[in-house]
Amino acid sequence: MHVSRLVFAVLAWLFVGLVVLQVFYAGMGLLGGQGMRQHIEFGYLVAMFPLLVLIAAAVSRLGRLAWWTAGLLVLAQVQTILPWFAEDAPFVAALHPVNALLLFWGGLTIARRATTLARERVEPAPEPSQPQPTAT
Amino acid sequence: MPAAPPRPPERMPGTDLAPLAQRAFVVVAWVLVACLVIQFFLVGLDIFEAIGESELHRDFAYLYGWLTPILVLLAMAAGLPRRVLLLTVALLALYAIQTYLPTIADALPGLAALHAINALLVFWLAVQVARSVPWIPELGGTVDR
Repeated sequence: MHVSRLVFAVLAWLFVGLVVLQVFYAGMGLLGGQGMRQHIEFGYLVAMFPLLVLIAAAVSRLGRLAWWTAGLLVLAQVQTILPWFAEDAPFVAALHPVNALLLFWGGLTIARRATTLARERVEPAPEPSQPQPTAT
Repeated sequence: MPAAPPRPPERMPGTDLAPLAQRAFVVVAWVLVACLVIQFFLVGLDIFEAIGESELHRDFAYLYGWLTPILVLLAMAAGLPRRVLLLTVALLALYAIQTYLPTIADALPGLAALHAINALLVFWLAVQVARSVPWIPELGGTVDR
């Protein structure tokens, strides 16, 4: 098992967990009567977390999956920016929950793929073949 | 001796209209997924008061909510595998819980806050249901992903 891939998978699942927790905080703010402060403050942590996942993906040399993780990082940054449009362009700000859905789905897809990769067996490198003795 | 190919999941007994019902199931399942994405956008419109104080999100939920019991009926009519039928029933149950949760916001706000997480679950399950059935009934069985 690749240790770096295992770390990547753990971080990817942790991100999914953070997104779910963040959605719960949104629910607490909207229906729990606790205001949105916790959701907003925790949001900045969630937004930066994909950077860690991306570093793990880069260390693991995961190619396409690393690009997907980079996309997730971009989406996470967009997510923090969207509410800023609430007054000037509320229809743009309204994409905030849709983007949250994308973050959840994207995170889940990456985490599941990362788990599959982490479980793959590492094939030992083939030993160099012995030179055949030449007949004299 | 070569290993026997895996058998497709056993189908439940369906009606004569099973192929038609299966196609209808696939269409309705993906329409539901689309409605859920729209629903997330409507939440945003309501939260950020894009069109004043409205209850678009709530009204829209009652508009497309009947798709979930229809999916259960179509799954039975198409004789889809038991696993798909159970997923569809679970989707109906989660959707019912989803509509109930906001009604307890005053009494149990912590529980009502699960409305947002349950929305993710409903969406995830709806996609699983939609992807689990092939469009062409002749192929039989379900697509395991």
